[in-house]
Amino acid sequence: MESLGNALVLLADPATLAAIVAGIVFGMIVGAMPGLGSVLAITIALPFTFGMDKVPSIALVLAIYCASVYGGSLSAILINTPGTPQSAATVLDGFPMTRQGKADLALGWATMASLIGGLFSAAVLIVAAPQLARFALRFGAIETFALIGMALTCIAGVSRGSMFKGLLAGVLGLFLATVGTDPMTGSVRFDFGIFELSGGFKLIPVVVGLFAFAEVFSRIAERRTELHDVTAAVGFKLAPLAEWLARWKTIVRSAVIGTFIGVLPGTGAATASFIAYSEAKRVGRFRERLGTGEPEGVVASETANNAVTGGALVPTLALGIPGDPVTAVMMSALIIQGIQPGVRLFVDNPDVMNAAFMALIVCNLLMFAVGALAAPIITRVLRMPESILLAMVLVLSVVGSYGVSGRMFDVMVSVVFGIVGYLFRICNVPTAPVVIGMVLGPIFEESLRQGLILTDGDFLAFFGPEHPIAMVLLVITVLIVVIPIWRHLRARSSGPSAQAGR
Amino acid sequence: MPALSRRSFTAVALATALLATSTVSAEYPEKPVTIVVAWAAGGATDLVTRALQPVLGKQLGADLVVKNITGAAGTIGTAEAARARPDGYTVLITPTGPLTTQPHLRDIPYDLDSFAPIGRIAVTPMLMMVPPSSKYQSLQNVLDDAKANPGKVKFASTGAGTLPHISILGLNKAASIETKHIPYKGSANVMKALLGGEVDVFSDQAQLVPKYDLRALACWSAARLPEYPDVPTMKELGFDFELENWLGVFVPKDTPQAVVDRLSSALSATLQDASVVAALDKLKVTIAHLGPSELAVFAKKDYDRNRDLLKDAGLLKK
Repeated sequence: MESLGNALVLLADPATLAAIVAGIVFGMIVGAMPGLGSVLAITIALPFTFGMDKVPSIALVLAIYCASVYGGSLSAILINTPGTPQSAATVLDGFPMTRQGKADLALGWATMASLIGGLFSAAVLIVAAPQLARFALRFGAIETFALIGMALTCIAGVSRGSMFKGLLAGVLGLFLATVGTDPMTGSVRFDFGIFELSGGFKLIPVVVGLFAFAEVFSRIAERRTELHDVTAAVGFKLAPLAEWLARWKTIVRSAVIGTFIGVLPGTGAATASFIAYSEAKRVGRFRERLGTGEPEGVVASETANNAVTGGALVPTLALGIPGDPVTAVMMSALIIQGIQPGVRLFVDNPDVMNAAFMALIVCNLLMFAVGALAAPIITRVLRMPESILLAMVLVLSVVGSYGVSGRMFDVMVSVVFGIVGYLFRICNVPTAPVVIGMVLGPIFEESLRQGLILTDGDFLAFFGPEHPIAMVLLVITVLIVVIPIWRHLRARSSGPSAQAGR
Repeated sequence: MPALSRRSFTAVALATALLATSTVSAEYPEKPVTIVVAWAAGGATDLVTRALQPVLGKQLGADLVVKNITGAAGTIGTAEAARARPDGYTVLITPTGPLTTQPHLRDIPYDLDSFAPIGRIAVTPMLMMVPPSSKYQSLQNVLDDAKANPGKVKFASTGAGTLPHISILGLNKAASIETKHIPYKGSANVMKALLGGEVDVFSDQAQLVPKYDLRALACWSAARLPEYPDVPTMKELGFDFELENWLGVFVPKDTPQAVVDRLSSALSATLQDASVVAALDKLKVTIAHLGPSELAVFAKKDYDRNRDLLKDAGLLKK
């Protein structure tokens, strides 16, 4: 209790609050820009923390982290381009809502969902970090393989229209993920003699191409003079409570999925939002309407990706093992401050850590406030002349894909995938499964091959009694795949009228 | 008329060219210098570079711009630096891997001799480590187990051709044992696997040991480390083998000698600066400066040793 008081004193410092507000505004802006992600946002701010005290600098980094994940949803909803890969699933229902003239509502759903996800995972982090960290350690290569196998089934969930085309797009994503250095032997494959490809395709240039460039290309091709057919509603509007209560199961499920995925090192927020979305599509109350501008889709994706923030801090703080590049950069921010994350963190710095936890909660609350206040300004982009907006999106996309690793090559990759994405739209092939394949592919391959080394090449041993977690995940995966097929077949045999199972 | 104007044009062009070359050598640096870091911002190499940045810039009399060009175990950024004009405005700060092991593993558009050394910044000693719950109390335990169960003891690395991998190859050869090698993406992933009991042994930078409460079995440096006086060196244990990571500064080959001298004197002054020493100490990096000619010999030795080990392991590029 005493340390809680100390923490509050540390947090009430005006410098800390200023750092949080500045971090939220900055994180939101960077997150909303296509191609500039959370890692870049924190990296830019890192030098500023050198001269700051411990608590303000941690608060700044946490604020940027949470706000950049949230910021990605703004551009996903407003201009059909996820600001960060984490928000790729938000596009699926967020942009259709904007097209229906409900941008203000969509922002309300996304902002509230981000707040709920963020707070839920912060609470889990504070209450159960050490226990969850121990669980994360039991997640070895074989368990990870089983989890990713399960996650791949969400390709089916986000495939609008033809399932066959969706699967093809997913496989393309998996193939793209194999280009470059072989994770086990270090030899280079599928580079077609182009040295720049020996590092493989980076996720951000591909996402920027498939979404931002493709959006610009198709709008140019359509020669649409105005952005939205309906008078675009600007501002910020929260849906009535009854609407929220109708979707509470999806909210809770997505928050749990996000936190759980966050705790496991190496998976990340993009995976979490896709899994949550496809779960909503599978069992959600409004699953039939998902993909057509149904708030449940926005809520699933945004609750989950912000729930990853607290979850990802569990292994980072409690074990000193960052799960993804974002938390790795955050960990270096802590080390610069002389704080060493790991098993002794809470013993060595109880005041600072309690202040950090409080800061995380305050960050999420203020993020909601800033989001609500800024929405009327941000939604102005909808009233902007289309030619100017498209030019801005293009400039930002080029900057973003260049910034990933400082090479013009990545900009070329974006342009090529912009053309690919445009062709996909013409042929009605969904693009989200490509992103899923690219996100999951590297972990899928690495964990499979590590597992095969561990079991001396015996794949069946993956699901033996030594790996109960993997076995459970495998059973769930099989059920996810088999049940819809079985229902479908049963519905068919009992006559064409009984289609409810789909 | 045309002849005259052509002559005067040639004269002007010649004069400009002369002027240009003389300014390059006399007034270096006259514009910002780019430092290429082939790893992500916030990583170990990047943090050291940014700690040096302000003082090195002041010593050099130019603004320094850090450019992170990432990918493929540092070879993409290193290749970019090798391709740069050799005028001293592109400088590479790199650990040993991209220069002394990667060129052996596969075709990349540079080699160690594509660069001219400026100086070594620091050395990172390596320890062989096991989790606190491990049954191994000494290197001898590991070796006995590996001899009794060939190919069963699990050694982790951070990828093919990295120093942890080289250490495995070196030990396999020196002790004539057979082990199982499991590569991971980075040391954080290995830490998870080590603490979770998925792998048994790992060799990497010494500071991981206190950070994760691990047990150190052996030291890969020539002498025992002051922080770990009880951990014997490989040499004491009977294996004539030394391995450590280092961080060096390089420029593309054919950079004018005057520029190399200017850079190397700026680097050595920077590494004596009190604020730099303090900043690197915070990052747990021990300064171990070497001048250009000493670094050339030192890097070549690493390069040759790594080639031999990779050759024995059948990993040398065809």
